[in-house]
Amino acid sequence: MPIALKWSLNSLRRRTFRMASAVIGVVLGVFLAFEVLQVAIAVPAALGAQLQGFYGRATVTVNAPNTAVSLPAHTLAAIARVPGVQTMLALNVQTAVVGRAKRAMQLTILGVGRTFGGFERIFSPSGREIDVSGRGLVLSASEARTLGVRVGERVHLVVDGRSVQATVRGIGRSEGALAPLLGRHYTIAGRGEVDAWLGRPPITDAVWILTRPGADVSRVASRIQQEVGGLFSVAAVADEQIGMPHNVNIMLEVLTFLAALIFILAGMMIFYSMQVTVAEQVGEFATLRAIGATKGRILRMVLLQSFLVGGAGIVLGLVLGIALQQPVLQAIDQSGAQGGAAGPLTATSLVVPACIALTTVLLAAYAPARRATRLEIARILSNSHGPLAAIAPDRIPLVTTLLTAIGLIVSLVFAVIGRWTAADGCLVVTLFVFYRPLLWVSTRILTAVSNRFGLGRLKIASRSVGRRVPAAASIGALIGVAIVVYLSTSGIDSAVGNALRADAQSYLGGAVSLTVASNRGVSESAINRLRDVSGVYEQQSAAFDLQTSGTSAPVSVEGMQLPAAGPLTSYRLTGVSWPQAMRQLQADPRDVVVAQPLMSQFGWRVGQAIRLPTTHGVGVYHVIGALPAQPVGENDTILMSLRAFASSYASPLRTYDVMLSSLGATAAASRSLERIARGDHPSIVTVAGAIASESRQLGPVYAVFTSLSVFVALIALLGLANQQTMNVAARVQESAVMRAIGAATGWMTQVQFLELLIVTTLACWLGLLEAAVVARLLGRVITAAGFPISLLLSPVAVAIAAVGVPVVIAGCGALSIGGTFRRLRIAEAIRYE
Amino acid sequence: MAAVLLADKITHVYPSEPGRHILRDVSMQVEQGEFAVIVGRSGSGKSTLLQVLGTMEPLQAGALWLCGTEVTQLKDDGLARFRLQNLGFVFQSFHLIDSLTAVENVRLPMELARLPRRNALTRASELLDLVGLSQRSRAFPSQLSGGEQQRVAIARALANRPAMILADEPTGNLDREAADVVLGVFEDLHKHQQVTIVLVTHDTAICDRADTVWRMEDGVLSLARSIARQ
Ligand SMILES: Nc1ncnc2c1ncn2[C@@H]1O[C@H](COP(=O)(O)OP(=O)(O)O)[C@@H](O)[C@H]1O
Ligand SMILES: [Mg+2]
Repeated sequence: MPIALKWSLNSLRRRTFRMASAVIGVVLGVFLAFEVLQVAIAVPAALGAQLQGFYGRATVTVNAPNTAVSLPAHTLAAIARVPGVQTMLALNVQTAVVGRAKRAMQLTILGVGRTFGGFERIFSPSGREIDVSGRGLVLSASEARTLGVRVGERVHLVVDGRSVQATVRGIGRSEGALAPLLGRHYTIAGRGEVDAWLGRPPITDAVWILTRPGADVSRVASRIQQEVGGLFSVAAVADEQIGMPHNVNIMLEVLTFLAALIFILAGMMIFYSMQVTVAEQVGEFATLRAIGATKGRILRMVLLQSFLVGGAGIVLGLVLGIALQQPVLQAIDQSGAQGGAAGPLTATSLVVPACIALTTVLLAAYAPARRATRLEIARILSNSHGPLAAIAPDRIPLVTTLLTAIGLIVSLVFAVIGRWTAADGCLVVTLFVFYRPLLWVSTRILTAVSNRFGLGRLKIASRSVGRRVPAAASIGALIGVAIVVYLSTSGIDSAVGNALRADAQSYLGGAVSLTVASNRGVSESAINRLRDVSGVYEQQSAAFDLQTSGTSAPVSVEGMQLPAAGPLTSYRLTGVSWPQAMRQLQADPRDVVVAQPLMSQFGWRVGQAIRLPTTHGVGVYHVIGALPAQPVGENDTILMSLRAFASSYASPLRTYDVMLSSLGATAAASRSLERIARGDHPSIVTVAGAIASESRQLGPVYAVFTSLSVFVALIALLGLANQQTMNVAARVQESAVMRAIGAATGWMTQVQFLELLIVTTLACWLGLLEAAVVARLLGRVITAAGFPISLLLSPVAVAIAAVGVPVVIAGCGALSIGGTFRRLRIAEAIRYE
Repeated sequence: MAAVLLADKITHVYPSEPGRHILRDVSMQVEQGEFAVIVGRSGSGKSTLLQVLGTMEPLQAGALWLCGTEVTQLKDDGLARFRLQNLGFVFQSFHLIDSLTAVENVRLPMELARLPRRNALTRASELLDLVGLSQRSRAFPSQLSGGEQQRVAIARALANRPAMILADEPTGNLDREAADVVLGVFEDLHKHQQVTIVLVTHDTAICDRADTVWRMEDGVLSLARSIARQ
């Protein structure tokens, strides 16, 4: 083995504790980066696979915009005739209410259009393919959980007012991945089934088209665009990115952020470790230089040491990453997103973390390595005060002082002109890089004070503090980092956590979903009380329609802004022209336009008077025209002027989606929500069940985050403990001399305590200052990334960090030093000098 | 006979104390194979002189030729390489690398000089043999006595067959007995290997063993005794 390598290994072995903490930092960073990359690869792959399974190799999609319009049959036929179109799958969306008796919820039924296509490939949670060619339903996993139904059971559905029964044939793997495409809940039913339930063709709002092999997809897409007109968006699938589900995205962002944080932390740990290690080895480096080692040689030796640390960290991190890949994906899977199977190892996810780690390690070690090459050899080798004293400068170089001053002034200037981010950034750099002058000034002040008052122990303590400036600075930096980590992980928990939670809950339909259906108006106070229930984080209320109880089936009524009826006006009305309908609707609040499916369902005709329930009882309306198809969505079924709508439906049916701020609050909050809703509205149709179990699914994700923040905090603490040990080790020789000349152990321990107290107090204050600035900067960056967050320490925490931490650290340090003093064998310790 | 060391009017002032001349117009010459001793009271500037001669302190005024090379011609790494090939150092407090065994400490300069491993191993054990430590070659510095450590340091100084060995109070940290052994090693090297040695000490007893004795007083160097060599 080359001696240089052996020397590096030995030197690392003698500093196991310090190096181990640096290695842990690298391990965590590499592990996280690896997982981020693997997840980023695995999730879209799983998504892509499922999408393919779902609709085959569709190459063009036609989507209805949010205006809730249906693709008419003649347009579908026109699409089918476009050259290049091989097969197409028209999606039919119909709302049904399931399980009215027990827990009720709204389902979106995806019926089947022209071809049965990819629907035949639906997978159960275990990955088994489910046969849906016969009659029956496939429920999404979350619906099945909420309704408490299993495969083979029969469920009751209310579709368009008709009560039907269907057998659950299968439960889809997860709607998480498909949620962005399909809306919240989906149920898949065979074509015949949907036709039978509806008694009419289902509504089509999206078509997935498979083009013939070799067809120019974008040309086909533009031809289809001509057929469907501007109302529908047509896209070649190739152009569409398979998007990462939002909550997986947030998770990846958080993981990336944590990985970056940990890398920075690990870099700082390595920087300070190497700084101190170089200081300890200053004698050896000077000897090497004396016997003829070149600067490059010394540089390489120091870098080799950190390279070994980094290498060990990288290997361990990758092993850990590969081992924990499956659990991490499972946690993501359980959070409702499609985690997918552990993907194959890709070169990217192995190489990229390794490269980042290596770069971090080498960058962090470079400055200490440079220092090792710039030693005053003669002075160190002839110095009898020990190597540490030799490199602690008595004076701060003028350049450093100047740069510090410039840094402070520039950040002040930035602050004055209101460029806070720039000011903070400048201050961070100044504090972390040019900490020495600041600490030097404070130790000088201390020394001056203690000289003035001639306090024996304080005098001795404060003088030796001057020699410990680098140690104080590194403790300070670590404390600063620890505070920042604490702040940002708790900040992540609150800000990103809330975003994640809200996101997860919103796609799960809210932790508690209230449907308040009353024709008699909902009082503001009730709404306010719903809002005030403790644990309610966000509430979205939608007053979108009115499910009347006067007719046998619920119908939707929509008021419309007449001059701007929007995309609906592209449909030709039966019985009346659009301009005429507009005029009439505006003139007479009793005139309505009804969608054709509703007309046939209730046997209404144009020109007929119909009875509709209103807020003030049943009202008589006059059908002046019909829409050719029933537009999609729960709205727009019966159109009247906005004015008429407002006067007749003062308090339309409301739906509340309530999200809870804490996962634990779900059960209690849903009980009080139910009580309030029922108390106020005896006629409430339903309080859809608390989806507590869904929320609990997020548990593993939080467990992952929590353990990560604990890890990060642990690294910072390790660094502190490490500094302390080093401090003790560095004092042995000095203490032995003191003992030799007759100092009592107790007296020395007191001096040590004072010294440590001064050092750690200075360090903690520096750390607080650094943390405050970094936290502000971080908070601003995270807020800019879309998670409003303010990272501020509470006064109590500041007090603890400023006073409590120094006292505890100094106390522990003095105790351990006291122990060392008692065990000290003086002769052995001073033999070397 | 070629002068291995030729110093001409060297003056030295430490930047921290600008007014104080540590070395004043020091001139000195050491021939190939000579054993030169510099004596003087503590604080007289002996170590400083040795460090200047050993190229570890920059030359401020005057001229210095080592092995025919004018050292002011060399920059930092050039000087390091020069030291590696031409000079060997022995320090008062040994300065062995704690984490390496005796034999590894001796091999270190050879590895720095990229000597083939096999040759380095043989030479290292030869050198340890020479200083009488072949039995202790696998010991770490902490397991060696001061005298033994200093002998390892001497072996290390000899590793690359330097033109000259510079030793600063090599016996300063040793008891009489260990000091005698170490001095015996120096004498042996001088007599049998014709190694050029410049040794700094405050111990006048060492002077008897030397060819030349220089006296250092307040930064002024003077020739005290010179034995003409046959
Ligand atoms: N790095 C230094 N900076 C300032 N003065 C020094 C330094 N090194 C040595 N001196 C001073 O130079 C004088 C000579 O020191 P030195 O050469 O070590 O003497 P010697 O080895 O003869 O005892 C001493 O007075 C010492 O205080
Ligand atoms: Mg000296």
